[in-house]
Amino acid sequence: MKEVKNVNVIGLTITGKTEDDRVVRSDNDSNINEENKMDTKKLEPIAFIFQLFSGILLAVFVASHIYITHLNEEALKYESVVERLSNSTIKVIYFLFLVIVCFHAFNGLRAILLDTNFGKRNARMVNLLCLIISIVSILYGATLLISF
Amino acid sequence: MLVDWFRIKGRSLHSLAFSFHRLTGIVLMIYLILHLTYLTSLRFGKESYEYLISLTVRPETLPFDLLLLLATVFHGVNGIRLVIHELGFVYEKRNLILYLTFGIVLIVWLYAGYLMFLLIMG
Repeated sequence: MKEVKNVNVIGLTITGKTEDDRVVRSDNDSNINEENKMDTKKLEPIAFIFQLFSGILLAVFVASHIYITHLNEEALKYESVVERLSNSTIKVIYFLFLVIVCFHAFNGLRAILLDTNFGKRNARMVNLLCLIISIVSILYGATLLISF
Repeated sequence: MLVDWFRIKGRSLHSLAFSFHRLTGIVLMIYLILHLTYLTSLRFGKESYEYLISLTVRPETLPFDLLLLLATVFHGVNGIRLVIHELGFVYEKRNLILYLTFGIVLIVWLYAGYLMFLLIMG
């Protein structure tokens, strides 16, 4: 297999070793609105790095979450869930978990949408929409957390 | 372009892993929204929460739980593989790492699935 040195990852051209045989996404698509393209590229390196590191954190968070909630039958009981959510330390951990998972999920969605022709033509709208969904999800989850 | 994700013929395992990573990501994102919505039942008290638990944690839903677990394990383990490569490590051994990833996914999934089976089936 040949080594790909320059590939486009979530709209960002990465120079270096990376996945082989990825679905190729072209920066030269004639339909791309150049203004939108430039607009989306400004924060892409930061979003990409955050996506990587939030992914690592989530692997730990999600594994722990599944383990704790499936440890025994009691773990899913109403009283146990409320007891966990009433603990301030756990509440803070869950809030961090919520922020990280929402960022990772909706930044991932954004990356996928920006890879489509629709996303390339409407990059600004896609970015805004994913940001709004992300903020709404965080606020919604946070109100749930503070209600205990 | 999205249709390409489902095309298997003529594609390498790396390319398929890339497509599955995205597909499982979409599945997990939808589940995240459902999970947050589902947890709202906690605010309505014990009865509504336990009613939802009785609907979703039962032998009939176990196959879906196992599929969701597979998507989670694959996305997590494959994601760690991608991070390792993106940071420039062991790229020259990417085929071996990919096979290792599939092996780890299978082992973790079977073990976690077994625990889930015990929990639901008692």
